[in-house]
Amino acid sequence: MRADIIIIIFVALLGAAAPACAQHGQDVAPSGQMMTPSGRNPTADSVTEQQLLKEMHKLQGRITIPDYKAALLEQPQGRSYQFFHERLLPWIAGIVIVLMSVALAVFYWVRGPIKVGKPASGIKVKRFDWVERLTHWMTAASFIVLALTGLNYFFGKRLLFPLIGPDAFGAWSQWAKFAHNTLAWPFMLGLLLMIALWVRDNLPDRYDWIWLRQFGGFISGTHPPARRFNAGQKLIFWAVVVFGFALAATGILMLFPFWALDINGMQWAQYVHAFSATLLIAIIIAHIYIGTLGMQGAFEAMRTGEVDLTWAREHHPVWVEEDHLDRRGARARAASVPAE
Amino acid sequence: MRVILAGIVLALVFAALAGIGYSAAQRPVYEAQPMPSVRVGDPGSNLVGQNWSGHPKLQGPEKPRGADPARGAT
Repeated sequence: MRADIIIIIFVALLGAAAPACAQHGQDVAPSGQMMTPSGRNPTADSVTEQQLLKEMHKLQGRITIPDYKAALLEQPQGRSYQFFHERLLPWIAGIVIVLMSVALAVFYWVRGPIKVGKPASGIKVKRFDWVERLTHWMTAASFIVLALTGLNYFFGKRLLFPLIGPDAFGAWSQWAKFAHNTLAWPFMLGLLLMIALWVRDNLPDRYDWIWLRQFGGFISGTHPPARRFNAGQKLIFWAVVVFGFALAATGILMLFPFWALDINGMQWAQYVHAFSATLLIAIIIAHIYIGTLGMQGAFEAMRTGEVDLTWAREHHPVWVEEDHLDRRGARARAASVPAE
Repeated sequence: MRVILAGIVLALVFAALAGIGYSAAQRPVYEAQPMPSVRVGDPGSNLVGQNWSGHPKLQGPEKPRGADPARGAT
């Protein structure tokens, strides 16, 4: 009886140890790798995953559903894209956006808001008409929602999901995607309108270099000469144009997936979209800062369309003298001439 | 402030139009990618077979008429 128990335990131990030995490659090969009667090993003779990737650059199979894209099993670029999307992008986007926000906070703490040096004249100068302001705010409202819902792709599952849970995060992400896809169109329309409205005033001129050399007078407190838009505003305008077009082009390609691109092209569209979005969000944070906290009177210009003549003369003296007074400013010219 | 609200409303209007456009342009997957065959999850119960009458199969045994327990046996 005792010998029987010992034999049973021994056999059981052998059985339990077999998988462990197999994991270490010390056991016999599984049946699939055993030699056939002809002396061949079919498993060893079959093509490997790495051979297929090396020779065909992708692994494809045969499927029965009409969506042929589902036949693609593996492509090397997919691994690079996954590394970018899951590892690099959240870090790059986070660092860029946080750095810009911290830099602006430090700048505000050190420099404070840029104020008008002289008392307000009480004379209003038309700076933006209603079409310009409506276009600006439509584009701005669209962009803010696009930015927040777009950042949900980067950070949502990392930051928001642990806070609000799977149900709320799922519902939010669904609506965020819908908002992102639909508000893309007013943003693109606004982009085209802004180019039509402001491209002429954003062409480079001889005052830009002076403005850039003095860094806009942000540090020194001076007011370098500028036409309707200074070099800083022009940089923001062209950044919006360049990155806006990049976002629009790649966004349309992603709104209609695989319409013009294959799987690798779709991944490249997302590279460009994500980088452009990150940079434009950081730039627009700076734009929002200077348009609200950073400069006295800037927000009023886009809210009411009018600025005080003193503000205009300090920040855009060339515009006041050349452009506004010559072409549009009969009201301001008349009002700024002292009564006799 | 009115122009800011007007800008937001205008953005929503264009977004709504885009949403309508998507709905008009997109087709359900069973229309966009029809297949000659179907997939079945459970061949034991959801195949109709040759004698399918077109009516859904009754679930459970049919109750005999007049066997309403609320009224009692008649």
